Formats: sequence, C-alpha cells, structure tokens
Amino acid sequence: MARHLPAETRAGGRRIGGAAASFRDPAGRVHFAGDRVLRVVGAAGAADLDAFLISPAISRLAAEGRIVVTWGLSPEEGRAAGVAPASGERVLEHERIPFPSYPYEWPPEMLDAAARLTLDLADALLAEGLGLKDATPYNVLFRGPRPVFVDVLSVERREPRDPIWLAAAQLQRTFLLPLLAARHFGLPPAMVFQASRDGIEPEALYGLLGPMRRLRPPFLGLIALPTWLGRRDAGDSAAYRPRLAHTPDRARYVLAFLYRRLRRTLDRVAPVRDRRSAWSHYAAAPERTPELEAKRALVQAVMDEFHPRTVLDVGCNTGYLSAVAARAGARVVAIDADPVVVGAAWHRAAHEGLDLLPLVVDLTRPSPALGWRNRECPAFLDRAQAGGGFDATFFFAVIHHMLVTERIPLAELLDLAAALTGRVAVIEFVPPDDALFRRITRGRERLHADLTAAAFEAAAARHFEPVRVVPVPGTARLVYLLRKR
Amino acid sequence: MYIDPGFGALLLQGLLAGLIGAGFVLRQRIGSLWRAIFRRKPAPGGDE
Repeated sequence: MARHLPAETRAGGRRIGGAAASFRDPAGRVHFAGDRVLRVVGAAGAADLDAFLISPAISRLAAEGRIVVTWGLSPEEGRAAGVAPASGERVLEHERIPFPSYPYEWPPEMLDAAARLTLDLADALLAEGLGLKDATPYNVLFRGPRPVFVDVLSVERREPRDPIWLAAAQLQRTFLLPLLAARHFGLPPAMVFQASRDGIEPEALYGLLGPMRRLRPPFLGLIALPTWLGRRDAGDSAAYRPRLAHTPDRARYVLAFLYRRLRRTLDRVAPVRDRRSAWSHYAAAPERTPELEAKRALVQAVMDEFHPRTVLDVGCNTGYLSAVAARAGARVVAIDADPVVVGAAWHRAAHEGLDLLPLVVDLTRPSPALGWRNRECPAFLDRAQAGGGFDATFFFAVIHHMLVTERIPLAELLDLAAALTGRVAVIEFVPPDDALFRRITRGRERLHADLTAAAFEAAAARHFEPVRVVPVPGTARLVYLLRKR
Repeated sequence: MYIDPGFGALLLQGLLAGLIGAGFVLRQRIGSLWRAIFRRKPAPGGDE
C-alpha cells in the first residue's frame, strides 16, 4: 500500500460487492464511490471499532497483508466522497481488493486458507479480550492467492468470563463441513454455497454416514454429536443463556482449547494434495513439451509487446500459462471449471507468491448474481466486464469444449470473448480433426464439419483484427493473437 | 449481527467448556501443590 497511514488507523474492512451486501449488519454500512470503498459506522459499532483500531494483533496482521488496510476519514472527507454520515457516525475507507470472489468460486484449498485465516485472527484477538462475532467465508476475499480478512465489524469486545464462542457452529457449517463434504463425498464448495449462504448443517450430512463412520473422528464431533444433541428441543432458550466461567483466565483457557480443537479438525478435513480429476493429468504432464513451449513463448511475447496490466485466463488448468503472465507483472484471474486443477493453480500461485487469483468458474455457466435481490454477490461476468474487461484474455485449448460439449455457437463465443477483452485476445483454434476434438465429439464430427480456420477468422473479424497466427507444433491447431477493434 | 449458534453444536461446546474448565482448575490445583512441595523459598539474607 503506497499510502502512509498512522498505525492506529490501519485495520480491517468489509465485503466488496455492492452496498446491498452490507445491510445485514446494523452496526454499519458500506458505500462504493467509484473505485473507493467507504464504510459508515454507527454509534452502536463505535466501541468495538475503537477496540479494533488500537489492537496490536490487528496492526500486525494488517502489516502482513492478512487484514484489509483501513483508514479514517473526517466527516467532511466522507461527504466529499459522497456519503452522508449522521451525527456520531464515523467514516472509514478501505483498500479495494481488486477482484472480489465468493466461496462458491473457490476450490477447497482456498476455503481451507480462508478458514485458517479466520482461526488465526480469532486466536490472535483472544489475548486482547476481543473475538469474532461471526465466522463465515464471506468475511474473506483473496488478493491473488492470499486470503484477506475484510470485515472490520466482525471484531467485538468479548465478555471476559464467557467461555463460549457463538460463531463456532457457523465456522463448522461454512468451513469445516463443506471441506469435509469435498474431501469425503466429492461435493465441491460451489454446490454448497450456490445453494446456501450459510453452508451445510450437520444433519444434512448425517444421513450420508454409515453407523460405524458416525463414531469416528472427524465425523463424530462435527456431524454425529451435534445431530444427536440437536434432536433435543431447539426451542429450549436455557441453552442459549450465557454461562460465565469463574475467572477470565478460565474462559480464555477454554477458548484457546476450542480454537486448537477447531484447527485440528481443520487439519483432518483439509483437501488432500495431488488430487485427481478428468483434467488433472495435464498437471502431471511435463511442462516443457514443444506444444506448451510455443504457447509459453506467445504469452511472453504478448506480455512484452502489449504490457497488459490485467489478464483473464479462461480454461487455465493448473495455471502454467497464467503464471507466465503473472511473473511478467500482470494481475491475473485464472478460471477453470474443474476444482481439482484450480486447487493446483492456487498452490502454484501461493508457492511462488504470484498475483494470480484462480477461481472455479465454468464460462458456459458462470456464477450468477446471488443473495438478497441478487445484489449481495454480483455475477462473475459483471465483475469481469467492470471497467472494460481485462487488458488481455487467453483462451488456450478451451473453445472446442464450449463448442462441442456445451453447444455454444462460435459467434456467441467470440461475442463473449470480445466483451471480456479490453485490448488483446489469444485464442487457440482446435480443428475438428484434432484428436482431442474427436474424443469429445464422440462420433458427432459432422456437427462441426463447417468449423475451419477460415470460418473462425471470419467470425473473429467482427470484433478483432489478427496480429499473428502461431501453429502449435505437432498438431493442426493454431493460436490467434487478436487485437480488439 | 445475528448468527445461528447451532443448537446441537452449542450444547456440545457447553459440555466441552465445562470439561475443559474443570481441567483448568485441576491443572491449577496440581500446579499449586507442586510448587508447595518442590519450590523452596530462598533463605532470608540469601543462602547461595
């Protein structure tokens, strides 16, 4: 962050994605003013906000880039930026996280990283008498592959003798159980979070467990016991009454134990490295084939000639070519429909510290706008096209899948490519006689008999002018470098 | 902000909190006993 801010004003933030996203929390509201993210905090949230702002743990985590940087504005500055704070309200500004993403676009690896950040934060705040009032992946965004906690109003002062963390069940529903479901039942986070904002209830998974499995960790503590205990009368309000420990030390000891226990459970449900899927064999293939080398050289040439600041890599697989662009200085969003290869791309980006955000998005069925009045989480295409799209877009070895498997017409596909592209597009043309094309057509080659390089060029000419065409060695494929008209 | 504390999970956490809290008290008592038995105060005037 280039700004120099007084240490005491650096702090957390809040969900990006439209002011409608902030309505759930009565303590404050978020406003967007152009590229700026502002928050007005009411009198009810002021004391917790002050505790947050002076917290050494928060300052340390903000310096490490794990909490979004925040600074205070005067009421006049707030008004100049377009918000109208009432008397007693405070105005904050948050650093903007470049491309907001949501848990249904994350592979399990990213959900795991967001869970670890949430637990690290809860643990770091404990010694200062603070805690988190909620524990949901919607409090976290990703800056490249790194999770950033963005909900400043989640931090609250705790009753010192309270040994119960009310948000623990939410952490289980929204992090631990979806990770368990991904690891043991192959259920990707997208299936959980597109269907439900608040994750999975233990009862929903209980029926999937056999009698013996219910008695084994982590199923016993995460699913079976909460289900059995939950069969008692949930209207029994005595269960919700705070039961205070005799001393703050005892309460802190219990909470520290709880956080450690949750972290151990997280280790048990964390995604397994080197998972396999229909497309993950690409990851195992050597990355120095003549085919891939030709594509790498083209990406490098695009970076050298056009210097795109932002890149969208569609069908990124394990992110080999996305990483080439990121190493050359671009901010890359890399998408693929397969959570396994996106998980591998995340490991690559995290390991190398690249500005590369891998997301599980199928461009033929992109994430819709979700939430209250469809305004809480904007659609993927709206986020991708904001500000004129990406400087450069890559479509390597992907359009034949859209053409064949999803039956998207070529003209439609190029319309979308143009809408996402600011300046240049790189599109690999795969002819119908290509071995992989034939594999996915499964005997229906005649449906694509008119798909020729000339037909592709004619369709592309509506939006793009060709810069160069690079043959892929050993194949009949062509990679087109196209400049947007 | 309202969150669902999860009835079954909350009961489980309450039970665990009771057990771990009892463990904390036990640990403290054993610690005091240990110190009373094995930690001698230095003699007045310093007897090194």
